[in-house]
Amino acid sequence: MIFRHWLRENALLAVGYTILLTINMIASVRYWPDLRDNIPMAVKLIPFEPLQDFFRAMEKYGFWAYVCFQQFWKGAGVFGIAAAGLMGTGIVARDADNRTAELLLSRPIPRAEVFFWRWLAGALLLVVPLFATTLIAVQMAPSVGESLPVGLALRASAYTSLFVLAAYTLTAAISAHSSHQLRAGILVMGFMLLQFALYMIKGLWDYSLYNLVDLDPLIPFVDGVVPWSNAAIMAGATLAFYGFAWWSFERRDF
Amino acid sequence: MLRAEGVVKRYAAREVLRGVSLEARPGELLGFVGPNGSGKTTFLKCVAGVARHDKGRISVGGTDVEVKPLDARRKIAYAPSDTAMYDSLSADAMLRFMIAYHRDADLDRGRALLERFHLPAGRRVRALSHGMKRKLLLAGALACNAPLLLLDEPMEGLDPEARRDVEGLLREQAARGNSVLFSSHDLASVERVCDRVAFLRAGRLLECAPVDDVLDRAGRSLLLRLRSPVAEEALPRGDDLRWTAVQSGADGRSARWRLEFRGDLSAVLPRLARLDPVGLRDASGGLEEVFAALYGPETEEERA
Repeated sequence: MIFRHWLRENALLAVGYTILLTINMIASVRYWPDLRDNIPMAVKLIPFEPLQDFFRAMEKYGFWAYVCFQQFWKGAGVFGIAAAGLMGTGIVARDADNRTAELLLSRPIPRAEVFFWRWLAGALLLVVPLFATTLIAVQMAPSVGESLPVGLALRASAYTSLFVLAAYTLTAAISAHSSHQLRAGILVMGFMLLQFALYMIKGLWDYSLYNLVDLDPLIPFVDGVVPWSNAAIMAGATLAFYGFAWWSFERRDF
Repeated sequence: MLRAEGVVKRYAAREVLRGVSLEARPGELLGFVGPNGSGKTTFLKCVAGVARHDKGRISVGGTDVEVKPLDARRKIAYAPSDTAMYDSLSADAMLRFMIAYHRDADLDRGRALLERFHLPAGRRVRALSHGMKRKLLLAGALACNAPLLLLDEPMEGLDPEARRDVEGLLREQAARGNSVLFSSHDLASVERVCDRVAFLRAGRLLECAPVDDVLDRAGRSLLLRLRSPVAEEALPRGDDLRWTAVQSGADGRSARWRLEFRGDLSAVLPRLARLDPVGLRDASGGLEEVFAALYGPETEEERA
């Protein structure tokens, strides 16, 4: 009941997020042949050094680097984080904000279950579209004279999902402390925007969390190299945020 | 069914409940009254598991709400004072959500209550009026078939006809052996329905006693309209009777008198017959006035 209800509550947001990822993926793949032939020129036109690095990597590693940039860094890192922020902040704070918490929490269901089912529903709504739209790239690759192995696409999607899930669970933890969904959302989105801005500043970009999903960890997937330490950090952060959120929710009065 | 012993609840440094002890027996309708901010809602939240008390013990049907919160909540049907619900759901879906985790819940009864309250089951919650939402909450609570019904301001937003209907439903609930604890500012409803009333002020339970006892102790007041004006000397005398003219002429005679007395009404009525009254109305104060008379007004310290 809680799971289905939460899927329904977030359906509109999930549909919007999926449409954005799909449009981004389809348009990107279709544009690839034009870009592939003009990458050296594009590098000269781009003002930001981090973005120039992306295009140099595309020149060197081809279609895989382009998919990593479009789907994992831009799609997951921008659209995914935005959706995670909106979904995560609602897990607890929406009920506090809408004053439905009393009704919900007086039912004979453990708070841990309420939190788990809601978290799971949101996680699926975030992760499934990411995998699905990556598979669109796999399907479309031959139409632009490229190939993208399914296994490679799925492994990279799984890795990037950890980044989205960590951000999502952080927002859930903030939500567990907040009575205003909007405020919690602004806090998380502000933090992620700061991370994005850091990534764009030479000398500071090493301190940005977006390093976790840029081309440095993702390109080596093509050679079968998985950045396990990064994955462990993101999975650990997700678990830690989950534990903290659950602990806070269990002890909170409404 | 419900037993609370020395319940203390603090929000930061503020003590909202200060050692509340209360018992609601099976088959009893217990009214919970008190001024705004007295702690009524906080107490109900502590019982329902929405807030946690800091000290004391609350048990429902012998189950401690802290030790076995789920088992305790299975014995409770709670309708909060706030009518906020999930707006995107239909009334029927909201009803199913409210009763979903109660093992003895009766969906058919819930749907029958929706019909009784003239609530369109397919209409979205967001399209329901405040009063309709209140009825939906009540239908959900009643359909849970829980042995303890906790209702926070159940009469708020209801028209007089619906109030009478709900009062009847609460009596039915008690007749089945279930306990009903409801807070209300509608003291007329509390007087009509409840067996006992608990008065809470500034987080302290000042009294929990049968409604009639409380009313009797505070004295009663009757308004009499006589066929013709009489002087005060013509009225029945006695230490237990106090007369006040409501409207009097220059000679002190009046056809409308207020009589205040203590004790049994049946002992007083025969003494009034010789006055040839043409109208008689109960003008006794409500429970809130009664409690204010018994315990004095709320002090600044209590309000803080």
